Amino acid sequence: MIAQARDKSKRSLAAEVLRSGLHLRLRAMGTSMLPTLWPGDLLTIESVAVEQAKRGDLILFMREGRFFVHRLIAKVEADAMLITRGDCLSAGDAPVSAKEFLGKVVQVQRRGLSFAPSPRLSRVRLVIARLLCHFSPLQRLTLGIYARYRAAHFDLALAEDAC
Amino acid sequence: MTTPATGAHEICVEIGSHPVLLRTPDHTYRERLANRYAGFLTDGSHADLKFDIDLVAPLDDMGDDDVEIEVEARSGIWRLRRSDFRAEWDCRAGRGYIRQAPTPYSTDSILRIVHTLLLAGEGGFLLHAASCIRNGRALLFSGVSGAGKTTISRLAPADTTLLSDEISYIRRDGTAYRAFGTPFFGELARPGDNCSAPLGTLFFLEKGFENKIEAIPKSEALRKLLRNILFFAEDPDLVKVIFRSAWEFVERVSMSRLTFLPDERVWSVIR
Repeated sequence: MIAQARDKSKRSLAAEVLRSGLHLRLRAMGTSMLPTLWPGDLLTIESVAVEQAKRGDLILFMREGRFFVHRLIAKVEADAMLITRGDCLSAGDAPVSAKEFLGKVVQVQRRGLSFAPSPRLSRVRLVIARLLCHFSPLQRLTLGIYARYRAAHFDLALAEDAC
Repeated sequence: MTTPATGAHEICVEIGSHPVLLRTPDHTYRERLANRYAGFLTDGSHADLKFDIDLVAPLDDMGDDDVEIEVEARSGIWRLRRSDFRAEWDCRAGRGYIRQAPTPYSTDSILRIVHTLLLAGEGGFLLHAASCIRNGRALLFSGVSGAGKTTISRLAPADTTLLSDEISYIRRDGTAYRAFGTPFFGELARPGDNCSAPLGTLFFLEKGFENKIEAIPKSEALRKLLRNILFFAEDPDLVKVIFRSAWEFVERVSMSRLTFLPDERVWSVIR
């Protein structure tokens, strides 16, 4: 219960940081944005006005005390509602309100390098996303391979030869 | 790839005593770089390397993958390629050219790669590690994402100087090593201080239920070290050089496993 309260207050603090115009850095944990984002990626979130969010942006929103980073796929201007979906999910989220919206991802750090996330999901990635979405054993296998690769991206065989 | 006209706006970023001059025709972009590397700017008259940066609109022609990177050398020219940039660098002339999307993240990645190449030639490397100076010695805390590098940096006592919470800069200094501050940060979102110190101990981080330091065999230390060295070049000769550097490092530097609980008491066991 204490841990839950602490997590909730952390999330509220993070939301407050963004709303005050500062940057926030979060570690990606989930799999809903594969293959665009991977568990362990470090995301830099910038506070922007909801009107400035564009189709293709990866946006951060908070719902029921949890953070979500999903892709903005449409805007319903009249209601200032955002339509979002995880790249690896088959269905969209419930529309995101301006109150839930916190900012957008401007930088991803992975394996020691940084890059700005691409606003479009290429055909190749779309196919990968659909495969990972519909075949959970494939997703588990891919994540397992990725975790091993992340832990040993240098040539370990070389190291073992010399030991 | 042709060389563009020389731009008027320069900035020199010096990391690990390696000054790199960046030249762009875009004043605004120069200012963005100046903000990004504040604390690591220096006079460009003695730069080891000079890059002309050509900013282009989003590089749709440059491929699909925003992460996959190619770093290769041909006839003394290094070629760096990712979906958001292309760069060439003539080692002998110390001159290079960058064509990139108008974002400092691209320049930042190029700088990291360039420094891994500069360091490889002199027995050093960039390491996925937090680093700080305490009592005149540099301490390194290495581990993959989530191992606790930022946590240990955040918990450091007030008399500690932060060098980086993410990417540490290691250079040979005679038969010993020296760690330098870098502007490359992780979750802490704060660059390190631009200073250096002789290297003391490298700790490999593990989260646990107590604070303790344990010795580890050299073979394990080498394996862990190699896992955390940043290196991107697909060059068999340079890979051998890096491996030799890592082995020499293991022979000369004290290394231990640090198991820790995420609170400030961990610093009472760090010597």
